[in-house]
Amino acid sequence: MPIMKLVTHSCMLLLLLSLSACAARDAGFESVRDLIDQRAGLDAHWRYLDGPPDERVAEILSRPVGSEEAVRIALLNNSDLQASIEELGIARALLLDASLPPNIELEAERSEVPSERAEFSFAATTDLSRLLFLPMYRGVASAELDAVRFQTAGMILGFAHSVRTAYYDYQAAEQLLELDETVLEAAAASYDVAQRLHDAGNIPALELANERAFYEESRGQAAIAEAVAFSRRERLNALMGLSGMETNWQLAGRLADPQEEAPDLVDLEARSIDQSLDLVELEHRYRAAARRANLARAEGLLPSLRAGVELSREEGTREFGPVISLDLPLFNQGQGQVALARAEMRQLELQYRARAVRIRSAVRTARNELLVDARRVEHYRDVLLPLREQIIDETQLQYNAMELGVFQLIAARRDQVRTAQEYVRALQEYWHARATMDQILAGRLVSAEGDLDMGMP
Amino acid sequence: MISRRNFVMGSGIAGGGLLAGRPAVALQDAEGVAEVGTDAPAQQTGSASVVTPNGVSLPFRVVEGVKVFHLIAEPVEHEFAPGLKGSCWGYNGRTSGPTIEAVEGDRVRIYVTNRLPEPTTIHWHGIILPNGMDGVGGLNQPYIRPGETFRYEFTFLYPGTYMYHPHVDEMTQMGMGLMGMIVVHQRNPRYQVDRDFAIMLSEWYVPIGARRPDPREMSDFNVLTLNSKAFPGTEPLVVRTGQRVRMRFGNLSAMDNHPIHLHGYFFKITATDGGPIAETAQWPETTVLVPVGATRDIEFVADAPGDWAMHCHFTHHIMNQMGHEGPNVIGLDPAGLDDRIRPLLPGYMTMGQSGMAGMGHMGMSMPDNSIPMKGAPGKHDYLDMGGMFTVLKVRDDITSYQDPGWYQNPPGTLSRQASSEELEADGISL
Repeated sequence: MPIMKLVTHSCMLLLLLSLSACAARDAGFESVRDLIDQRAGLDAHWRYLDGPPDERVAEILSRPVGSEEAVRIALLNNSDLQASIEELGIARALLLDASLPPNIELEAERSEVPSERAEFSFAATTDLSRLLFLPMYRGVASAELDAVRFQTAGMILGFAHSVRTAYYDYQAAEQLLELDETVLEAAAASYDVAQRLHDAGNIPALELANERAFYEESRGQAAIAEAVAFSRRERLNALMGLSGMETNWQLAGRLADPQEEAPDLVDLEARSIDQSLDLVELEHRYRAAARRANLARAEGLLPSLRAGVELSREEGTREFGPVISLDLPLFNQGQGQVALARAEMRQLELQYRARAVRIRSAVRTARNELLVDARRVEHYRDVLLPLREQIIDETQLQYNAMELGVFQLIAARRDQVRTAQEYVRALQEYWHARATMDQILAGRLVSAEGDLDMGMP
Repeated sequence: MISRRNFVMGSGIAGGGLLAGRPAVALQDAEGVAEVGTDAPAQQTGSASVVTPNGVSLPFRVVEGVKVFHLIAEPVEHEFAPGLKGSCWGYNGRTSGPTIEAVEGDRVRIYVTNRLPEPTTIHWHGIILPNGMDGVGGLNQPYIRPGETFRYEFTFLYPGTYMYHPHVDEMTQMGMGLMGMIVVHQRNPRYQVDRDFAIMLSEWYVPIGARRPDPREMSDFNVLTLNSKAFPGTEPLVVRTGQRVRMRFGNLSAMDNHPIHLHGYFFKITATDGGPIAETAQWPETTVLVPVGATRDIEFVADAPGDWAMHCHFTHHIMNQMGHEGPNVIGLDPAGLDDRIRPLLPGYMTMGQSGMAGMGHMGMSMPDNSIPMKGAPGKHDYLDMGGMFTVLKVRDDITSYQDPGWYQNPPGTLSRQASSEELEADGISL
C-alpha cells in the first residue's frame, strides 16, 4: 500500500534527522573553537556550552594583565560577544526547525440527519510536499548554519583584534601620561627657577608670567592625558566585561619593540585569500541561496501536495481510501521565489568578488603600514631619541659654559620628552598595524561587516 | 752663519743671543743678492729688534738695494689660547701676520700672493706712498684674485708704527685674521730703546663650541686678542729692570677701541701712525686709548721690578667667550634647586648665583674647542681673566728673555689677610 510506504519512509526520515549531527546542541561550535585555536591560538568560549567563566577571570586578573591576557578575559567574559555567538544557537534552531517532518493533520466530521443514520468521515493527511522537500529545507538551513559558523569564527577574531588594539591604546595612553607628567615636572622646575630669579630681582614679571603660563599649560595637558588614559582603561574594562573590584587590575609593561620584519609580499595576497573566513562564510551563504533557488523551483512545480487516508460512512456504506489535494501550478510556479533566490546568488557572488578585492588591498595596505611604522619606530629609537640625548648633553655643556641658561636646559629636556611621545605614538601605530596584519592573515578582514560595535567614548 | 734658505731667524726673542750680540748682516752672494735676517734693520740703526709677542718679523732679502718681502694670504689653523683653535685667515701661516721691519728711507718691494678663496689686496696703513700702491681694491688697483701674485714697490719715507691689512671685503678678511704690523725704524735715532714690542689688537666672534670666527658679528665679540692670542695664550713681556721700553700698539678690531692699561708705571705716548709727538706735547698716562685703525707708541723706563698686568680696561675685553643668552642668576636662592632639577637633568648644577669668579676652573665639562670664562692658575690664586690680558715681567739681572716665572715679592711687600690683632690695633671692628 503506497500510503503505508509513505508513512514508513517518513518515520525513517525522522529517525535519521534526530541523529543528525548538524542540529547537535553545540551547533558546530567545536569546529569554531578549532579554527580560532589554529588561526590565533586563542580559546573560544561559548557560555551556553562551556558555562560561566567564574574564577578563571579572577585568576588572570590576579597577575599583571598583558594584551593576550586581556583578550582571554574578554573572550570569556564579554556578554556582547556571547550575545553575538548566540547567532549560532539561532541558526542551529532554524536547522532543527527545518529538519523536522510536518505533522499529521486529523480531520473528523459527523453529520446527522434525523430519520437517517448519522454520517461521519475521518481523515488523516500530511503536507507531503513539505515532507518530500524536507532534505532541501534542511540543506538550506544547514548551509546557513555553516555560514554562521564561519561568521562567528571571524567575529571572534575581529573582537580579539578590538581588544588587542584597545589594549595598545591604553598602554600608549599610560606612557604618554607618564611623559606628560615629566614635562609637567620640567615646567614646574622652570617656573620655580623663574620665581626665584624674580624674587632676586633678576627677571621682570613678564618672564615670570611666561614661565608660569607654560607651567599651567603643562598642568592642563597632563590632566587631559590622565583623562584619556582613564577612558581608554574604561574601554578595556568594558571589553573585558569587568566591574567593581575587578577593575583594579594592573597593566603589564610597556609597548614592546617591533617584532620581526613584515611578511614577504610574494605570497601574502594568496595567503590572505586562502585563509579568509569572510570568503568561506560568503561561499556558504551562496550555497544556501543556491539551495533556496532549487527549493523554490521544486516547490513551484509541486506546490502544496497533501495526502492521507480517509474513512467515511455515507448513506450506510463505509468507505476507506487515500485522499490527496494539490494546488495546480497553473499561474504561480514559484517564479518570484526562484528569481529572488537567484538575485541573492548574484548579489552574493558579487559581494564575494568585492570582498576578495578588499582583502588583497587590505593586506597590501597593512603590510605597507607595518613597514612604514616599523621604520618610523626605528628612526625614533635609533636616530631621533639619541639625537635628543645628545642635544641635552650639548645644552648641558653650553650651560656649563654659561652660554645658555637653565631655561634652555630644561627646554631641551622637554623637547626630548616630546620626541619620546612621538616615539610612543609611532609604536602604538606599529602595534595597530601588526594586529591588523595578523588579523588579516588569520582570516578576518578588519572592519568587515558584522564586527561588534564596541564604540565607547 | 746665515744660509741661503734660512729666511726665518732671530725674529723676536732669540734667547740670550739677543743680549750677547747680534747676527751679522748682509752677506753678499755671487749674484749680488743679499740674504738678511730680520734683525738687520735694528742693526743698521743700533736699535733693539722689534719683538712681536707670539709672533715673528717677516724675513726679506736685499736685491740690488731693494728689500724684497713676500706675503702669502692663506687659510691658517690658529690657536687663540690652549683649548681654542680657530680656522682663520692669515699671512705666511699665521695670524697676526709677520711684522714688517724696515728702516726709514728703505726701498721695498713686497710680493703678495693670494691663496684665499676670494680676491684680496693689501693696504699699507699709514704709509705715505704713490696712490697706485695704496691697495684699495677697485680704487687703486685691480683685485688680487685667488692664485695671483701682485707686486708693490715703494719707499718708506717716514719712521713710525704702521699696519697692513686687506682692502677687499674688509669685514670678512680682517674678521678672519688678516692683519699685521709695520715698523719703520728711525735711521738716526736720538736715543735707543732696549725693548721694542709690537702688539696688534683685534677682536673675534667664535661661537662657543665652534671653530670658525664669524666675521658677520657686529657687537658680541667674545675672543679679544693681543697679536691674535687671548690670555692665557699671550706671552709675557719680559724686561730687565732699568731698560727703556717702547710698546707699539695697533688696532684693527672690527668695532672697538681699546684702552690699554699698564700697571706699575706711568708712560708717555710718543707717537701715532701720523708721526712722533713733540716731547713738549706728550703727557703722562697709565692708559692709552688705541682707536680702531690707528697706532700708538708708548715709552717708559722699567724701573720697578715685578709682575705687572697689562690689559684692555673694558672689562668685557678681559673675558674669554662670555655667553649672554641665559638669565642673570646672581642672587638666586639655590636651596633645593639641584635636588629638584637633577632627576630631570642629572648633569645640572646651579651656579653663578654668588658671582662668576672661579667659573673658569670649576672643572665642569665644556663644549669642544672652547674656553668659556677661562683664565689660568696664578701665583697666589686663579687668574680669572682672559682676552686682552698679559703680564709685563720686570726682573733684575736676567740674562734671558725666557719667561722668568712668578715674581718673588720681597718680604713685607705682599698683601695678606689681616689678623684680628692688627684690626684691633687700628681700631677696625667687624
